[in-house]
Amino acid sequence: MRLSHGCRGPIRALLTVFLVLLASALGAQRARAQLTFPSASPVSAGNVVVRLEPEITTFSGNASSAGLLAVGLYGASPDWTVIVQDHTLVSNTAPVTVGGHTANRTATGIGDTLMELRYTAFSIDDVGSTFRIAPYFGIFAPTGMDNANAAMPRGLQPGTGAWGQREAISATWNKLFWNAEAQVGYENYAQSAGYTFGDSFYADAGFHYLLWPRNLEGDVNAEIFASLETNYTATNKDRMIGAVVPGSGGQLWTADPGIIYTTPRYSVDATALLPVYQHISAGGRRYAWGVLGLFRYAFFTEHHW
Amino acid sequence: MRRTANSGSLLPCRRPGLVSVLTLVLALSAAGLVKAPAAHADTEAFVAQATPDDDILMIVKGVTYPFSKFGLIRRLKQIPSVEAVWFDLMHGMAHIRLKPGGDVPDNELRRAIVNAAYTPGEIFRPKAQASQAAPALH
Repeated sequence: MRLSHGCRGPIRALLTVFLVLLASALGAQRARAQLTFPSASPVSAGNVVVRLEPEITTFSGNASSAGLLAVGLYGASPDWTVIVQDHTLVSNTAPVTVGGHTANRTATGIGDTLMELRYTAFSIDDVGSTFRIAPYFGIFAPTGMDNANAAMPRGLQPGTGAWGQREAISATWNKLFWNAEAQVGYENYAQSAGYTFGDSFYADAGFHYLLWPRNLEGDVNAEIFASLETNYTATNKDRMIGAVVPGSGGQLWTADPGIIYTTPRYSVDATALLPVYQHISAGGRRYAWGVLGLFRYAFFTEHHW
Repeated sequence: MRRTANSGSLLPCRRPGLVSVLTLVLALSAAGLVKAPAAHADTEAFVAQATPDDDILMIVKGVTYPFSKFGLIRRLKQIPSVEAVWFDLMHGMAHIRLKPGGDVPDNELRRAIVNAAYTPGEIFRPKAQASQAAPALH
């Protein structure tokens, strides 16, 4: 970024504060669990499931975030599942003031990758019913671009540039006519180039209700569920060389009504992400709304542990 | 502008419509939840009407929706003597058709179910059970 020598100091300070405020608005949802948040539902040994999840999130003040998350699940054994989540595309847009001129700027590029292991620690199965508990252990790899647009702050870059970890525990109770799921988790990042993203606690819950068909006699191969999920995230403030980054961190609670169409081979979901409560230090900017789609396709291989 | 292109079909005014439709559908179908029949209430009747006699019927616990059937069916189809598999969600029943002259031991069926991340239940072999029930064949 080039600024005239005379005004570089105050403008840089103003720009820094403004960008940090914007970063906190978008960054507050960094840890929000994806649709649907990871569950403890069964994954057969040898199953490979590929999910594509496009998402758009908007904020007041012409700020927005769009992205495509690609997820691969592999049933390594009846109890162990290997999961790789790759933020294939991330695009963050926000108004940025440079030299007294404000314009929308966008940082677009490849995001980070999360590698997780899931272990089914507890299960009770019955005819048409299963209850399972599964902890997750994950590592964030800084595979993304943390300097896609030099005019954008660190928190708005597609990648974090930092290693991180995530631990969570998920419980799922599936019945023929409804499913209930819940998850709590924690994630944190290591310091990278003097910047440390705030650690996050998150809690999710979901309920899916069978709309169609109402009669499950015979070889039923398609179902439609109404879905209502909720996501809560509390994120601590970021730190730059040990100092708290002003305006970072916050809490966001969303309610997500949606619909699910599922067959044995594939599943298509769509969900709205609506704010219920938000306490984000973002210079008056507020989370507005989001939408999330999901396409899931299953493959099979006879190979497993 | 990327943002304009993305948000063009995602107008905020569509949100109340989606919520209203889901709420209405949920309310209309709520009565069905109360009337949901017990999943295995008529298992014996289901087994009795199964044909042909060479088919194997097996209870599988934990299968609740179509997407979870995929791995189960593919696991069972890995068994060489299995020709086709159907699954009845309501009764938790796998309907296994064998190839002509083929057979499969119970433990191999149970292992396939465990690998599919589900719990095997009772196995019904209508033809064999009918043979055992007939005194002339003993």
